[in-house]
Amino acid sequence: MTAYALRRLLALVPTWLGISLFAFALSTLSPGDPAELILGRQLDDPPTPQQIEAFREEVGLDDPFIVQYGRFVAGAARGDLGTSFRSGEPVFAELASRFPATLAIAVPAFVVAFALALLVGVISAVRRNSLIDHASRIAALLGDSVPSFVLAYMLIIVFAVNLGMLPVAGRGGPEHFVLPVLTLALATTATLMRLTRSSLLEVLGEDYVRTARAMGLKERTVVLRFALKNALVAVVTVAGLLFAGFVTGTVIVETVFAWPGIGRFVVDSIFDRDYAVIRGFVVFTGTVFVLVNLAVDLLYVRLDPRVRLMSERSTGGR
Amino acid sequence: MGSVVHRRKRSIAVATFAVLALLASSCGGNGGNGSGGGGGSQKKVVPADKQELVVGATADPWVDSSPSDKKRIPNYPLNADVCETLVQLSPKYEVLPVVASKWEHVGGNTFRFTLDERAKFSDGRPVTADDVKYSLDYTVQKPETSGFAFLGLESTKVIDPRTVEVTPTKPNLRLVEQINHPTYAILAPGSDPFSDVKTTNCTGPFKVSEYVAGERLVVVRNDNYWGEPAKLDKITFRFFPDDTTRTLALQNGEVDLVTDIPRPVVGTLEKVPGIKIEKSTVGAVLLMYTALRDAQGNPRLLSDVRLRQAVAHAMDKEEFVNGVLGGNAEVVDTVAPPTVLGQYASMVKGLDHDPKAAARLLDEAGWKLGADGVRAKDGARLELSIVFDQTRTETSVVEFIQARLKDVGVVGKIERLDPGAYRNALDTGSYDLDLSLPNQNDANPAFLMSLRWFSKATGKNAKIISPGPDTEFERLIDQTQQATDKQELQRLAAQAMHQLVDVEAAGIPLSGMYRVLGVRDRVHGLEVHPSGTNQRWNDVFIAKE
Repeated sequence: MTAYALRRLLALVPTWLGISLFAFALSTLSPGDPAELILGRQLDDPPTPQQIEAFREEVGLDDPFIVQYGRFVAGAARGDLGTSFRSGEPVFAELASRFPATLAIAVPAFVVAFALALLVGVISAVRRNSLIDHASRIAALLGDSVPSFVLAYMLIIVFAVNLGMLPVAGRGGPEHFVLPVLTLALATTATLMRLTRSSLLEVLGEDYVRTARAMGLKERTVVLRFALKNALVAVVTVAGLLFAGFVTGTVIVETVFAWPGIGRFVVDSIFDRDYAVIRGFVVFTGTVFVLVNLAVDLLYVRLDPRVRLMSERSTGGR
Repeated sequence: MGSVVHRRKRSIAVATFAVLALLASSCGGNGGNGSGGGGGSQKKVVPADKQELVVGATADPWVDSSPSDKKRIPNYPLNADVCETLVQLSPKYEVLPVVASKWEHVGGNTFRFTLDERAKFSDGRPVTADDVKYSLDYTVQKPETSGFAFLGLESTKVIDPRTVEVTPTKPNLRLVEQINHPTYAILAPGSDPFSDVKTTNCTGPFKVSEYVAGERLVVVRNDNYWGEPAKLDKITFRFFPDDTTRTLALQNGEVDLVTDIPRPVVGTLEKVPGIKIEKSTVGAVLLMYTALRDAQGNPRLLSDVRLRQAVAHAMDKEEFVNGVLGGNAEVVDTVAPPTVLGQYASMVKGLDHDPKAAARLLDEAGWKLGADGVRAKDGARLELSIVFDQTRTETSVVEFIQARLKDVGVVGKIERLDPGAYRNALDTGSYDLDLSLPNQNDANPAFLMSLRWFSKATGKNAKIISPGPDTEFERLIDQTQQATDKQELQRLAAQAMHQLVDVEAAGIPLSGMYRVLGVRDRVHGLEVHPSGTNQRWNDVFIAKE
C-alpha cells in the first residue's frame, strides 16, 4: 500500500508540471503584452517603447519561454506565485489569506452533503419504488434543477427574513455558517444521492449479493457491509471532484452570503485580467485536484479488493 | 474620479426573483412598527440609549474596486467620516470650510488656507500647518493616489503654524473646488492608512476601531472631536457584494441602512413596514461618450458630428427614465449634475428626441436607409459598437440604446465587457459608444469635462473622445481653469457643456441619477449626499422605537 501510494505520488509530478505549463502558457500566450498591460495600469499616459523595454528587461520578460517557465516553476514550488497586478501583493499570500474562509464552509458542507446523500441514497435504493424512494428522487430532481443562488435566496428568506432564526449573511458565530453550508450541501446532495442510489441498485443485483442473501445474512449486513462498500467506488470518485470544487472556491455562495473566500477574489481577478492571480489560481486548483485525486485513488484501494489486488501485483506485494 | 453608484450586473431572472422575494417576505409579518415608508411622522423623536448604526454597504471597496480607483481606507471610496479635508462639499455642491476656516487666492497659481484654530486630531493634538504639508505630501508620494495629484512635493508651503499656501504644479485655479476630495484628507504625522488603517489619526467625528478586509469597517465616536460631536457611538459598515442579500439584510433588521438599492426593487421596498427610502439630489449622470478616433488618431465613424447628433436625437430620455429606470432618475440635459452649474444649467439645452431630425442628419451624411431597415454607405452598414462594463451597468440600459438606434436605421452592437476588457477598449478606442455613470464628487463644474474630454487631460481616453484641440469647447475649458469668480466659473462651464452636448454631441446625457438608500424608520438625521464620497454621518442618530 505504501509503495502504491508513493508510486501514485510520483506519478503526480508530471501531471503537476503539465498543469503549471498550461497555466504559464495561458498567461504568456494571452493577447497583449504583459509589460504594456502592467505599465498601462501604473501610468496615466500610454507607456513609451523605452519604458516597456526597460520593464521587460527588469522583470525578465525578454528571456526565452523555457527560462521564464523554469523560473515560474521554481517559484511555484517554493510557494512564490508572483505578484498580483491589482493589489501589488504576492499571489500566494492573497490566496492563502482567503483560503481558510472557503475551507470553513467547504468542509462542513461536504460532510453534510456526503452524509445526507449516503443516508437517503441507501434508503432509497433499499426501498426501491416506495413512497420514500419517490419522494427522495423528486427532491433530488428539484435539488439538481434549482440554481444555487435561488436556493440561497430561498433559505435566506425563510430562515433569516421570515423566521428570523439565522443571520442573512456575513461571517461571525456558528449561526453564520448554517445557510452557506446548507446551500452548498443541498446543491450537491442531490447529485451524490442519485449516484449512491443507482450504484447501490446495480451492486444489489450482483451475484455475490444474491449469494450473501442465500447464505442467510441479515439484509442490513448485506447492504452495509458488502454492497455499499462496492457501490461507494463511483460515489467517492464524484465526491472527490465535488470536494475539490468546494475548496477551490464557490463564487455564488461566497457572493450571496458576503463570505470573503477565494472564489470571488478569483472571479474579480479574471474580470480585471490579473494574469498573475489567474495563473497562480490555476496552479493552486490543479494542485488541489491532483491531491484529492490521490486521496480518492488511495480510498479505492481500501474500498475495492480488485484495485487492492492490482496495486499489490504491480508493486510486488510491497 | 470614483464611480460609486453603478449597479452590479443582474440578470432579469435575479431582479425578478428579488422583487418576488421582497414581496413574499414583506408579507411575513417581520416588519418593524408599521408606520410605513416615507418618514412623514410628526411625533417627537427621542434618541435611543444605544446609538449604534449598522450600514449595509456594497463589496469592500478597498478590496474589490477597480485598480484604477485610488483606494484609501477609511475615507475613499467609502467615506466613514473619520477624516476631513481643508474644505468640504455641501449637498448643494458648495465649498464650505472645515479644517481651513478661510482661504484666498493670493495671485498666480497659489491659494492660502488659514486653519481653524479649534481643529484637532482624534488624539487631541491641534492641527498645524506642518500637518497639512505632511498630509498633502503623503498623497503626492503615494503611487496609489498620485493619479489624482495636481500637486507636487513643492506645492505645499508652511507660512506660519496656522497658514499654508498651496500651489498646483500646473496653472489651474480649481484647487479649492477640488481639494475637498477625500484623498486630500488631513492626517496627523505618522498616519499611514495605506499600510495600516489603525494608524489613521484624523480630525473627523469618528475614528477607526476595526477593519476586517472583505467583511467590515467599524468606527466609533471621536470624543476629542472639535466640532459638533457625532450623535452615534458606533457605525459598522458591513460589506455585501450582492444587492439582493444587502436588501434582505435591511428587511430582517440585520442592518439599519443600505446603500445602492437595486432600482427595480425600490418601489416594493417602500411598501415594507418599518423601512423608508431616502434619496439624494442628482449626483451622477448616466451618459454616452462617443469615440471620435482610435488611440492612433485615426478617425472613427463618429468623427462625423452629424452622426453623433443623430445618435443624440434618437434617444428618448423620458421613455428611458420612466420606463427602463422605473422613474427612479431624472431627465437631464447636462453631463454633470445641473446643481453644480447653478443658474447657468439652463444654457445646456440637450438634443431633443427627434427621430426625423436624426434621419435627416444621417441622410445628409450619406447613410441611406436600405430595404432591411439598416442604413448603409458605399456598401457598408451603419453599425456602432456600444461598450459597457458588465459589472457596473445593467444590460437593459444598453438594450434601450440599441432599440432607439434601430429606430433610425443604425445597428447597435452591444459588447458586454469585463472590467479589464472595458478598460482596454477605452484605452485603444476600439468602440463607438461607451456607456458610463461618472459621479460629481467636487465643486468644480468643469471637472468631468476637463478630466474626460479635454485634449490636454492625462487620461488615455481623452485623446479618443475629445472634440479636438482647436475647438470652442477647448478654449472654454482652458478659461474655466483660470476663472477666479464662482459665477464666472459656472457660466464658462455651462458654455463649455453647451458646446460639448448641443454642438459637438460628444457627450450624450441620458438620465440624472441620485443615490437611493433604504433606511429603517428608527434612523434619523441622515442627509443623503449626492456624492457618496462626501457623505457625512455625524448628525445621524437612532430613535427610540
